[in-house]
Amino acid sequence: MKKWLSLLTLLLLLLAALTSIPGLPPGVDLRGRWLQIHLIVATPLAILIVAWIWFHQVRLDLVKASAWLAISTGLGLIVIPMVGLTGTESTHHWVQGHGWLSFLGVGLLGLSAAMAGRKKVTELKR
Amino acid sequence: MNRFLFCLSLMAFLSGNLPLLSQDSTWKRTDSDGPYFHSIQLRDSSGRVIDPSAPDPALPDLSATCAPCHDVVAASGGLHGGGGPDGKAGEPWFLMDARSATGLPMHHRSWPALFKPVDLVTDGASWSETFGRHDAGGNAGTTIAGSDCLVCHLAEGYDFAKRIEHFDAGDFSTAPFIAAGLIDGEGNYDTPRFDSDGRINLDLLADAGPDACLPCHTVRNLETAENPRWLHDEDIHLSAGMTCVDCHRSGIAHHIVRGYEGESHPSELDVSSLSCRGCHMGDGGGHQGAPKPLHQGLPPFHLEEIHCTGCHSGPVVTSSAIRQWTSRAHRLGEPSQKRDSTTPPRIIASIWRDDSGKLGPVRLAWPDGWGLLDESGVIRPIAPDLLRRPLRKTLRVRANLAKEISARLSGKDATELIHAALLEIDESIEEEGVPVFFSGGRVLASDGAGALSEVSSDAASAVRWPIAHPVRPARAATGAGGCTDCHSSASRWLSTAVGPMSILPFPGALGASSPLDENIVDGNSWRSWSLLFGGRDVGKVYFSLCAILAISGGLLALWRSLTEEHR
Ligand code: HEM
Repeated sequence: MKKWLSLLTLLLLLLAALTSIPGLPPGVDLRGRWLQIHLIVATPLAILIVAWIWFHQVRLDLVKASAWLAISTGLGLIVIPMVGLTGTESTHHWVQGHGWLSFLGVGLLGLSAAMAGRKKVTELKR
Repeated sequence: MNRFLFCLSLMAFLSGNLPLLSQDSTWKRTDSDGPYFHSIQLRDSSGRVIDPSAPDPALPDLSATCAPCHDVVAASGGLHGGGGPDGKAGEPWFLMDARSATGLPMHHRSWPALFKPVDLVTDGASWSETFGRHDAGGNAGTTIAGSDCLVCHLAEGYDFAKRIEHFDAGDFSTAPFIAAGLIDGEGNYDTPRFDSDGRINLDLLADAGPDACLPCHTVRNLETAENPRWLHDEDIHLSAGMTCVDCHRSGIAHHIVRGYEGESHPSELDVSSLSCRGCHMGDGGGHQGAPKPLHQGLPPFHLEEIHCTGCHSGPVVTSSAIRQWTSRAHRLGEPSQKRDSTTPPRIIASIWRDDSGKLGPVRLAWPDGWGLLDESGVIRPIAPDLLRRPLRKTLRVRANLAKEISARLSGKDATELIHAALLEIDESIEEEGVPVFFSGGRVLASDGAGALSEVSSDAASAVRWPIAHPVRPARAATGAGGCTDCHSSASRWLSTAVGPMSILPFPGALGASSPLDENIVDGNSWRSWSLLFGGRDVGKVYFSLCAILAISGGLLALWRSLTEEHR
């Protein structure tokens, strides 16, 4: 996968996370303008996630693979209410599940980047 | 146990059981769920039994007739009889007078934008003459007519048109008996219906079905060629076999549950399960097998921001500014050839955000009439009776001010005439204040130089009350056709401007606005969502495909990384 595409994916992930912050407090749904921006960011992001997972040449380590699986499952969870498979009351849970899994994924990506960074530093020191 | 303690515990026991004891001891009850067969004797106002076959029998009195078995004092009050807390705004009474172009929404309750009966109706008798036809009577309202138990509880044989006729004629105490066919207009008893004891069989029921309520509580959309009445369904609850009082319940106190969310009932009992949401979605609900809706695919905040009636009642999305008739405002139940699409008051259905911040359908009406503006800026309306002389003198009106003047003006505006009338009112009415004319949402006064000047006041602003019925089932609700029922530019209910109409032509524009213009619904947000919703179906397919591919790829990646680590 091209480096700029990879960077764009990470940037959009970050933007999606930022635009979803108003929906984070328990019991509060992401709504209005922020939801619109979140969706605008999410539209190209969704296909980029697919591209990242399928066309990434390097084999993913466990943390990274778990991160992408969490993000993908997050996407899967939001699709369920989106296509109208849930009742209004249970929708909350699906949306929240989407939020937490997506954040978990982004967090794991951060962790994997931090681990890789530390590894590089120790290699350089040697 | 000492005596004091014994007395105390006895008192505690008795007071704990007091409601039950008092119910049992005072009033006769069958305690059966089946109806009681009423074979009863009529009584006169002093409580004496009437013998209808006697030479000159006394006239019957409803309260005295029912009192031996029922707590008529309690039954004459309650919310239905005009008592109890004011609560959320309900339908006003409209004081209509064509001769003075008056159409004033009013109520003795402290609901917003309403005139007070004390300013307009001189006494209880004139109230009953004006509104008694559709007022069940009672001891807590403005009427002097006693409670008409028969109009609601007599299941068969109550002639509502006759009731109207006799209330209009001022026969308040006999009208219920005439309507029920027990006596005629001259006070003669229908003797063949009475047995030798003077008893008559009456089909009196606690719940006499929807037909008992509809004479006073009918609401109908004005028929048009494209939208005839026969194409409309009745309320889904009635179609399902329910009756009004299945939800609008009450005990003998007649504090009939109004059924809105957050209602605080005078009995202090929890009636939340008798609101739409309480019954269909609340834990304590489910009365009569009420189905619990899933509202599949509906983002949850819709339920937080919109009343159930927003989608299940009121204007449908394709319609705009539907005009409605109500029993009380348009004298429904009275056979008449004169009622037509121009019959005032003009009541329009629209959308409004109420004090609780929720959107819901409402009826709107604007007042027309004449008033006196005092120094504090308050406008007191002038009663039609007081307007007769000054208006006849200046405008030479016979029966219908608006129609006659408009015909005379042939297209010109009525500034001069209104101005002349205002000057004459100033001359002839002794009360303090500057005469004003209000109509079309505007208040006008004389500028002293032959023209009219606008007065800033909310006296002419719209009165609003919620629409609850008829309730539409899920498949006929707004949104049954998908999100674009609301979220598209083809949806007219939010974008249609609704505004007042002036009863007389005068210069200046009349304000009309849509729920979007008034920010009842955020216009920018609605427009941008409408834009996004255009691509919603494609979006669903796209995101679903992405999710399937991403999850399968993610699982594969995880499996690979796990097997890699094992090697
Ligand atoms: C990949 C494509 C994504 C799509 C299609 C998507 C879609 C959505 C939608 C439609 C909602 C609102 C649902 C509602 O309230 O009705 C939502 C909420 C949310 N999203 Fe996303 N999203 C995506 C990615 C992300 C990412 C990457 C993050 C965070 C790292 C994220 C975090 C959240 C959060 C926290 C909420 C609010 C949860 C709540 O209200 O409880 N989303 N998303």
